[in-house]
Amino acid sequence: MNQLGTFKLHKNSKLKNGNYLLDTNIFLYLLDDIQQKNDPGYSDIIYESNNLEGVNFFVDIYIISEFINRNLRNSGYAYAKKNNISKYNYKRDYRSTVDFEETYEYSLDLVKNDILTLCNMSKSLDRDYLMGAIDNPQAKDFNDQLIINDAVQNDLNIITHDRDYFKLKSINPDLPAMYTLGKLK
Amino acid sequence: MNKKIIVKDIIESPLAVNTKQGKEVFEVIEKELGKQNVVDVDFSGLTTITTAFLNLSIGKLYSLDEPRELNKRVKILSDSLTVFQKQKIQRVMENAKIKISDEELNEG
Repeated sequence: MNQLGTFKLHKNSKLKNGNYLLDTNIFLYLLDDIQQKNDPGYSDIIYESNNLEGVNFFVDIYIISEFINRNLRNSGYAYAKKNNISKYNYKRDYRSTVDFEETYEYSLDLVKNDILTLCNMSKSLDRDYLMGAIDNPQAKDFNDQLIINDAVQNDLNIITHDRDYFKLKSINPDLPAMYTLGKLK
Repeated sequence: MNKKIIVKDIIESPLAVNTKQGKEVFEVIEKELGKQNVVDVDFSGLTTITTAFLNLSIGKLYSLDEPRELNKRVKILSDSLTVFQKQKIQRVMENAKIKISDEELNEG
């Protein structure tokens, strides 16, 4: 059983032994060429811990799906900036572009070459845990709820920069252990 | 004058993964540019190249000069790179000047 609690990570530190589910925002800081520039230090922690015996990273299909979507949205923002598009609208101004098509292909390559080489896939949610997400939602975002239930089912720690998780954790202390470089409150 | 730098030799590892390594490579290239050299950057022998490494080593160069000028003076030797690695470097170069805050990105 993993240790419960919310833990502050420190820049340039290494993770202690354990199984870690990396949240979508962590992959964006690692891999998205736009958002990586805002990385408070997760890239160094994750990649420096990657080869440590006893440290294992996990991902699930909800996180992968969200990552691809966010990666495309971020590229759309960058496209709008580069092309000085005022009142930018993702679907209207970006979805039909060559840039979108190339970024979509690139996002899939990131999943194949970077995410799935760094991480194991966590075991899919059993029906009971899925029903728990439906019948007893704690997060206000269903995808977040699925990620939390994944961590509970598979006994994984969560590394995230999303403060919504910590608010949830403060109400439900028995949720999985969470690690972050961000503010805890 | 052309000056070839071999990334693997600078970072002494086949894994180009962290920001410290990125800064080391950036400083070597910056120094050569300061001597008015054209820099050929050789990525051969690297098994892993992360976005963090590239943003610090290559992307940051675009704070030194205009992209058109920089593209003339920094050449990426790409023979040994996979198609995916080339794409990764290309995207870092194309988006080097774009900075968008987390708050703005999370609005969508």
